[in-house]
Amino acid sequence: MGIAMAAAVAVLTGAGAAIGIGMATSHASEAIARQPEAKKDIRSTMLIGCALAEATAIYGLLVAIMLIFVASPDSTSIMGAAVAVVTGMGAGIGIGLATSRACDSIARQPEVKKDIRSTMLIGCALAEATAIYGLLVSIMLIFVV
Amino acid sequence: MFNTMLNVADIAPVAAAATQQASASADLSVEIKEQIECVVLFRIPVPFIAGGIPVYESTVVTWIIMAVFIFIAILLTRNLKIVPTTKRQAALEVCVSWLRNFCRDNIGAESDRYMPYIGTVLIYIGAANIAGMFGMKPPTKDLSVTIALALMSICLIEGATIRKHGFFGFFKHLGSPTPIMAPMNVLEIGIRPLSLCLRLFGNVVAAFIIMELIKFVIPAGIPAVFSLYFDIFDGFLQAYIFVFLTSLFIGEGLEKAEE
Repeated sequence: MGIAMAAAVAVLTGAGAAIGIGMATSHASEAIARQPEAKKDIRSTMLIGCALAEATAIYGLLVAIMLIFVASPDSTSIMGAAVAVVTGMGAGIGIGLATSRACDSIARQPEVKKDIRSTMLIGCALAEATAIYGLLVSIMLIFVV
Repeated sequence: MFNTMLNVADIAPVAAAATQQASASADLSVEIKEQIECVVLFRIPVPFIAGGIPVYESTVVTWIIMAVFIFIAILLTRNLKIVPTTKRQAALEVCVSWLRNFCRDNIGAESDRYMPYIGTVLIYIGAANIAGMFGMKPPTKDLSVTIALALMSICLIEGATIRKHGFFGFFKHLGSPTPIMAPMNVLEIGIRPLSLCLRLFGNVVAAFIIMELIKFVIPAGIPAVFSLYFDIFDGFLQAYIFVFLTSLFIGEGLEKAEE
């Protein structure tokens, strides 16, 4: 029971990634409609951003799998591990937001696409760092405590 | 009488299926635990150290990657000409100039000094992440490997700053833009390698375990599709992000104190 609930909570992290990816995709579609000749750049920017957002969902899935198969059922820290990894939800939404605006910006000003993309990557990496902190704490709770 | 016998006959297969399922789940659990563990393949006997130096699987896979890439490098750089006449050399030049531009964009004017390191790390992490496709355990699945890579990166980042601006310049740059930011800047020295190594580790270990699960449940055919995303796309993306952030931080350190 405890493990079932904890695994369900952990995999809920993916909700944030889904929202973020949805936002990024909607803005990317708009951006392509506005500037069809930049569609290759917009699409690759969207793909990179979505993969980063997806990574937060994968962290949730990883923790859920570890809770189901690796954690001992009578451990007291399983629920804590699940809640810790949900931090990634915010990172997923944030990365999606950043990616959506980056796509818009490339459509508006395709000639500075390199700068836009590297700025987006820095921001996404920093946002993802928060998801990584959640993952770190939850792995420590599973294996150390 | 007949009725109860029927019931028993009904229940027996169900119970058998349940125990089978339970044992499959236990198998899976053992399998995943085995995959997460870093295995010691053999020990190098050394005097004064009990049991010798353990050699982990990640080290051996790294040796294999090194051997493959040394071989490829020798093959690719044989009789190079000033004006490329072979397709091999033309392709190589495209790759090298891509790498040079990548470094120049992120690091700035002094990029050529750092380009060999950035390129080496990119190739190594890229190859390590797709090692799972060739039936090996990716070395980057081992936290020790990613910690070592991140420590190398942070030493290079801070070393580049000290080299450019001198020892005092480094401390001055810790207090920029305002002295109030100094604790944050000091913290950043620890946080940067932490997030670098855990991002790589988290993604690779997650991809690896999910791939193993898929292979366990569906033996043939379909895993190839997932492998395309988890091994190739995610693996190369993580390698790219690792070197991108490293080179960006180097560029930032070189630039910052100039103001």
